[in-house]
Amino acid sequence: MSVARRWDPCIYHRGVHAAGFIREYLSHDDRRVMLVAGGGFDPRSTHICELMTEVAAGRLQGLFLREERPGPHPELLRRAEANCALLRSWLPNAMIRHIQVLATDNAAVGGRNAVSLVNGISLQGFTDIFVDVSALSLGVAFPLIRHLLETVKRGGNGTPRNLHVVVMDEPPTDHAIRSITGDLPAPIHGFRGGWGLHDKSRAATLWMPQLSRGRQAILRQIYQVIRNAQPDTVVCPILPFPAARPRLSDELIEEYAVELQESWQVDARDLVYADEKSPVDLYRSILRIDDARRRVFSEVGGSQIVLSPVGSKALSLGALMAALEQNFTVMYVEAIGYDVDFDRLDARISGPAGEFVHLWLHGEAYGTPHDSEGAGT
Amino acid sequence: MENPFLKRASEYLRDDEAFLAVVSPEPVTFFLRGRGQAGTLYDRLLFMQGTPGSGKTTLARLFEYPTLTALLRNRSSSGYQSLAGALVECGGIVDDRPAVIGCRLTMETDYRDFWEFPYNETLKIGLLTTFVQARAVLAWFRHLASEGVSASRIRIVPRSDAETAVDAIGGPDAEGVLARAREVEAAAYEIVGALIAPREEDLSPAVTGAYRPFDVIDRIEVVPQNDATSPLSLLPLVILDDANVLHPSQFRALQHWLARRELRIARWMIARFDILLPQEALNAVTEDRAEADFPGLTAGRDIEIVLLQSSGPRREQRTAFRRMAKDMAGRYLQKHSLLGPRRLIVLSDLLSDQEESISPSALREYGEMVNAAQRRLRVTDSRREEFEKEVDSFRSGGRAVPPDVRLAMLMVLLHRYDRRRKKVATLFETDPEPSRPIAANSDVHEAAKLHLLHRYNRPFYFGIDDLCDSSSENAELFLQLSAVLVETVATQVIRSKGPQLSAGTQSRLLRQRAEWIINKWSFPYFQEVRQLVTWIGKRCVEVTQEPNGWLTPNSYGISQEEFENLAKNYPDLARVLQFAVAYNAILLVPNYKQGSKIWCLLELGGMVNLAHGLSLRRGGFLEGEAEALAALLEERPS
Repeated sequence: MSVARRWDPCIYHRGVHAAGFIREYLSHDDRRVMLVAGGGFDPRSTHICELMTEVAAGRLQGLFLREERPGPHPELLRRAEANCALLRSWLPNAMIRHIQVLATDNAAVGGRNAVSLVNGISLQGFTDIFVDVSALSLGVAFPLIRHLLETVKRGGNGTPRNLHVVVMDEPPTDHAIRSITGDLPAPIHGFRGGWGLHDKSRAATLWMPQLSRGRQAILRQIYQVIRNAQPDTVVCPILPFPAARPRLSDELIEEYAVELQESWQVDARDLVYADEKSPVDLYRSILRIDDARRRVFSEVGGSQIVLSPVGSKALSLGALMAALEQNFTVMYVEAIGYDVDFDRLDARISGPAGEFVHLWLHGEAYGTPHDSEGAGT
Repeated sequence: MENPFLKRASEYLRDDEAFLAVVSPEPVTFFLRGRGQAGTLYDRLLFMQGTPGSGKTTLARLFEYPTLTALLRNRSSSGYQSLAGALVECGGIVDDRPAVIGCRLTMETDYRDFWEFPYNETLKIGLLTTFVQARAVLAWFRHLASEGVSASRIRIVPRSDAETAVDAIGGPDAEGVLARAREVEAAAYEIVGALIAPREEDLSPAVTGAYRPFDVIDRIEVVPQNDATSPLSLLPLVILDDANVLHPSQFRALQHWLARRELRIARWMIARFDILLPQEALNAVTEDRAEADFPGLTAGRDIEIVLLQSSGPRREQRTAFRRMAKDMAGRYLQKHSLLGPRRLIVLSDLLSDQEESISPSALREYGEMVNAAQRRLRVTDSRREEFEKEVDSFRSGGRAVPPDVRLAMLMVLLHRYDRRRKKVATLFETDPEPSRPIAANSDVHEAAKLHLLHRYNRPFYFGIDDLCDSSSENAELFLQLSAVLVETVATQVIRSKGPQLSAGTQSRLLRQRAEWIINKWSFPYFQEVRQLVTWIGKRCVEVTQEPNGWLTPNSYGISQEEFENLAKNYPDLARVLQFAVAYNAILLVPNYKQGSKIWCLLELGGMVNLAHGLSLRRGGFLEGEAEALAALLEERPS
């Protein structure tokens, strides 16, 4: 029996379709758009703004968040300033706000600060909010999207009706930026999902980490926290398949061999494959698993799914959608800094651009259940 | 073939029996027995501190109710008897029944967030303590339920002076107490999980009201199912694990709140060994706000401090760790599928402590170098003979030193003599007396062996004591180092060779393993930490190799005063050091007196010592300044 899902069908575009959609959609004069995006060193900070400025000049407002962490490399600051100057040149009235991602004791507070900041900004008069997560960390982006989703759902006079999420999917840029992660795994603000509650103490816990290169240390830390709380936790890793490189999932299995076999004791049947290019595929896969588990464990304490989307940003949006729909716990470790391979990053800037991914999370397209139509590509 | 040494004790959490089988009673005995017998284990706040892998959580877990009952279920089994005995000695078990009902609350999530709310400090701390209390009550009930004890068989015994406050915690029935705790937890969780903090006036009365079970509860009694046994009276124990995750102000306030003498429940706090914190945090932990917030409270009297690692009586601690490590190794070896059944379960028997000398040709070469040094330094033959006699009379472990060490010691003495004799030779004095007597002692012996290590790669790290000492008194590191040795022992057994590893094999494997561990570091700022310890390590090696062996350092000393201002003057360095200390790359030895100056030693961790070939003995340090370390960090690690 199929269960009705919030984003099935989902309005989702990728690549030229995404750019085409944004151009066409924003060309209507009645669209008044608020763009919320990162305003940091990441070269992807400016892509979506540039595109939107071309088609919605005069109807576009920008809110750019500069994530601040202690002791940044001077080159990162220089690049962030340059990106902000570029954004200002397109949107002279744009708001550029600084967000402290870490408290003085290294606790992750970026998500809470971002939500608090955005909550204090009037969204009156805008029809659409676009959140560009390309240059935002998950700890900031996820709470922000949840907050804005609740805001648009609540509605009210003059508040925006539509919420979109966009990301520039550019794996080589991801590879050039290495996070220096902290050592305090915790649920993302707003994504606790009942983690730690007494009522969930008997729940069968399933952890679904999204595997990607060079993230073993983070995932080991997260697993330790989960296992300390729920010793019987079962692990179902998410692997990207189909993927641009067909052997990628095999390579990840090899890279994570010790974790999969010894620490997490993953059964070969418990691997979850999700299309590398489709967040919606991952969203559906997670919810299918959740449906099955709910039925099985309903009489013995229930089921609890914990997600750790530490891989590509585009795929992590699938985890976000699933977590929003079923209130899953999203556990991660905040970056306390970045170690950037500038040569590699610059090589990407001069090379071919990545692909836009667009998700329409809420609004006119989903007006009533029967008139929602999929336009996925 | 699974190597049990590759697993942490806490990885056996899934199964109480499996967990208990690998836990050594030694840390319980060393750290807790005396305090249990003195009565300070349960009547005041116990604050336990150590680095990751030092065994904090393992120790805490032993006192959780399900673990205690599992231990009692298996007490007739020989493997568990010593552990049960240790718990009896510290009052966890009395008359073959559990005496405490421990619950461990990890502070990793939720609790820290209260500090971010826009409320006044009193309310924020109030919310935190309310949440902690509700969760502790729920955990006690949960633990009893897991042992088949329903709420109807539980009786909450209030303090004699708090009987009127029972209603506020949902009493007098246990069901009511449980329901109230659930209500409070749910209300607090809603606040902590809210995207936007609710307004103060909108907070649920469930969390702002007078909910103070810790002030009310004296004992928890379990009514037996039949009349054959007497009720089980349990002392509630709450263990707040990973309390270092809290904001320093929260941590301090919670510590003071739990240190109140009138509380009847037992309470422990466990935290990582974080000494260095950024400025604001440092202020919070260094200011003594006890008098201001809680009049009449002093940390020394009201808080029992247990340091699991490298502080206090360091020699005693090292000895205790050796005992614990050997016991732990035995338990792990018993679980080894190949070595256990063959009764190869004493690790020290598997590690030869017979020295291995350098090759005869190297010995000849070195002898010629000593002769050349004698000629170059113009030391007379009679003086050399005197030194040779001195070396020959030296005993290490009751034995004379082997020829290569003898030569190396002689080399050291020749150079020491050169440094100590009068620099201006006279016409009539060809063999001047040194300013201070020159003796062949253990320092010379150590320096000589290190010289041979660096020059000829002569095995330096071998035997069970070296293995223990190079683990920085950290159980996890000990297991990681042992794992590679045990694996090699198993390989030898499979190949029908003798199981014992030679000194050369041990030294080589340990140094390789240490390098591997350092290369695998992945904690925050590990590259900077690696850069820092490599720099200190190289400088220590340079000094170690000096021919007169005047010092065999493995530490870098900065003045205590400079250290105390580190977070203010060099915040980047402080941040890096914070993680270096937290992950055993560096051990701090504060307030170290040398001459008229007080130092804070940054002692290199065991892995760094092994990788660089440094002494495992303590106390040798290079005098330095924080500025030099800070300048080093400005050159970004590659």
